[in-house]
Amino acid sequence: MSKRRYLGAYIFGGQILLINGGLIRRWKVILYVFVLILCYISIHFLVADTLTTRVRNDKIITNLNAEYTGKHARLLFISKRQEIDKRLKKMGSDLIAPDNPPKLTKF
Amino acid sequence: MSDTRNIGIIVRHFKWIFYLFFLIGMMAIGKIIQVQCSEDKAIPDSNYKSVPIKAIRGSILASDGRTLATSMPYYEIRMDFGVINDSIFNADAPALAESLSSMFKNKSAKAYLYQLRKYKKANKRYQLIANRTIDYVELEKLKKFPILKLGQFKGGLIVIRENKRTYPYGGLAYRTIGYVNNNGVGVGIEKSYDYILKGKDGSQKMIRKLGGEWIPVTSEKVIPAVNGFNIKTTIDINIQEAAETALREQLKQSDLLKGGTAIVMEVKTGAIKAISNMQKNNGRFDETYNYAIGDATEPGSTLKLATLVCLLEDGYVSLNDSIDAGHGPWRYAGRNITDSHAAGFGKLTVKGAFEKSSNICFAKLATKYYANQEDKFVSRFHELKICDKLNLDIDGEARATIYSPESKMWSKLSLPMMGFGYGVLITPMHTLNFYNAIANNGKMMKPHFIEQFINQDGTVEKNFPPQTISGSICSKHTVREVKKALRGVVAEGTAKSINDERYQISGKTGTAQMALKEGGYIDRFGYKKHQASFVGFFPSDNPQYSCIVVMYSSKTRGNFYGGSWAAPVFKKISDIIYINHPEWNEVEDGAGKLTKDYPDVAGGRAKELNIVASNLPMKRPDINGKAWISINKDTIQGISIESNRMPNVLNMGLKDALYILENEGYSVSSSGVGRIVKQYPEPGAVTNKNTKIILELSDNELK
Repeated sequence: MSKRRYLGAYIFGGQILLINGGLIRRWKVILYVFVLILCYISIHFLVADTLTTRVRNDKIITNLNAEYTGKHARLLFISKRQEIDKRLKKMGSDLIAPDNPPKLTKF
Repeated sequence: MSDTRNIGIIVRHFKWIFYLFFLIGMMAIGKIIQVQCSEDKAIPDSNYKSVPIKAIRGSILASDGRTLATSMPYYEIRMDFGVINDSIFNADAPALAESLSSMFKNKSAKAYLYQLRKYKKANKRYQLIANRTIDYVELEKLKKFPILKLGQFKGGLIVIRENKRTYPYGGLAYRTIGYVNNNGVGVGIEKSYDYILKGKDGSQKMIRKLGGEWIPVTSEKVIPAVNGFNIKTTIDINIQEAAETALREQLKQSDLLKGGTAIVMEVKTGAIKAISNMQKNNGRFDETYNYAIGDATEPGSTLKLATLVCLLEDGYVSLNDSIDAGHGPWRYAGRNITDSHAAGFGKLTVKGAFEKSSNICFAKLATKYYANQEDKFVSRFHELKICDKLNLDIDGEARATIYSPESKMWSKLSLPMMGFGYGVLITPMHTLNFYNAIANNGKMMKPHFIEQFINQDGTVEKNFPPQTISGSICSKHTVREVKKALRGVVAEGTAKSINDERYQISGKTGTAQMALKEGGYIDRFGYKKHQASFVGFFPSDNPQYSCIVVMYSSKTRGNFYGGSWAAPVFKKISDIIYINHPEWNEVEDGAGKLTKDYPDVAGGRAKELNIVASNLPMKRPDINGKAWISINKDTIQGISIESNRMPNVLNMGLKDALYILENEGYSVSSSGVGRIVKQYPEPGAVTNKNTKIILELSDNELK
């Protein structure tokens, strides 16, 4: 085997890490790299989860807003004087509209 | 050395496998680099999408902040019958049909069931189910219906969301609020201020996660949506409703009436508090045509005020001067000028002629003083700014016109006719603005609909203060005099029917014949069209509001007088305004009349009760350190809210009681109206979250 081919096999074949306990000697670096990779992956998933939660929350807020707007609109409609009159009539109420405004009294 | 030899042997035997793995490894690294560094086009489209962030369209608000128009999501309901299991469908279809029928109320349950079975048989995959879109509250109910509660993939429920404009008050001020469609075609505030309301959509890149959920791509730039502004108008919902109701009721009184308008303006500011336009369509009166600003017609007698102002300004007459209305028609330039009273009014004062709305008197006055100086008369009208363009906040303002003596349209009859309100084309808004200026002691304000642009967070972006068109359209003396004449119309003249002891109204009736398309005012069969109007202000001594009511008739041989048709509408509107203004009446002296030490108020939130109590002329209850209080006669107690103990909600309103109890997780039912007079379990009783609370309300005071 020529020296060049040997070096190629030595480096790219991974023997550089295996012979003379290379892996074991560099275990701190390798562990550090693995921890970094794990952190990277974990953070990535955390970010993805947070974004998913945010998207879901946005949807909930949108729906709650829709519910609020719908209910608010209905309440506004039935707060119309005409609607109140109709409901009072339906209830058989004898309440009639005032002819005069309330009086202001000074004490 | 033997290690090296062994490795050499391994390499020789497995070199191709090694090269293959090496190649795959390099390709993987290359792909990673490409994904990290390359542009989007290298990424499969199905995993990425650009999603628009819809800008929130601004709402249109009334002057008190209540919503007149807002956007909210509506849902279209479709079904995919292909995914529904046959046995589930057969078992639950009748119940689903029953539920759909009770929600949409357009078909019987039987008809719905027939339809559902038909769709199932045809295996429809995208079938519209409902006759209308539904809101979120209804959608939540619908999602609990049989079959549909199984969701999209088993129950076949397909929900399509779309944002729609909703009008909480129905058709109230519909023409003024307006609308705008997707092509930008529209009317009213929605159209004129579309650029303010609509905002600007943004966009965001989304990526599909494993599992199919879409999340934003953090590395991509987000273009945020710019929400539209809310627009606060000058419209007062109570006055608007009063105007619409009164106008609609009156229009319904005659089949010959084809439409009408009513406008209420705040005297000091020119703010339009109500504007109603009704046009008859298929027997119903709807806000489909803007008579108020879009229809310039000859106003008739309401414009006699302008003639009177001219005469007084030029010093030609005073209110007590005498004028002969005669005892029949007055012939001028080959035409008979008549009064509503066929036998004539005889001798009148100028004020009396105005009160009785004598055409003959005003024609005579105009011709007597301006016959050789018609330009002066027309210039006076221009000085009164009756025909100036108002540049309103909404589109569609019709052009007001006064013909000049040099115009081809001018004839010998023009001067006397202008004297009693013909030959000038103005909109009801122009007429009202002129009367408003008189009510405002000659100061003419610009009529306006818009008060503020407001951000979505409630902060004010822009204010629109009142604008003055003219500081004084005439002298103070003239204003004083014409105010007397206007008051006289209601006190003793053609609008006597709306005179009221409680508050004084000033104004003028108008009964105009409208020009026909074929020319002239009466067709060959004796039919004519009328415009009955009343315009004025109140209270007379310190005017706060001005109002105009105009009603338009179809062709008829009969008459529609302003005093009998338009004035009652005015009165109904002014009555509603009056009862909401206690400050117009004298303040009563209540000194020494207090019978209670403490105010008799319901229990509730201490902070709010304190605000109420501080405005009452009694001792303020001692509420220091208490969040909620219960008041029973003169006994004030703090309400302690502990878990597993029933709080005391006696003598409270239902709203406060529900707030307390439901926040504690209780389920509450109530009966009756008024304050809470009984509660079960009793205050202080040991409870748990499953305890059902029963409240009894009554108008009677708690014993």
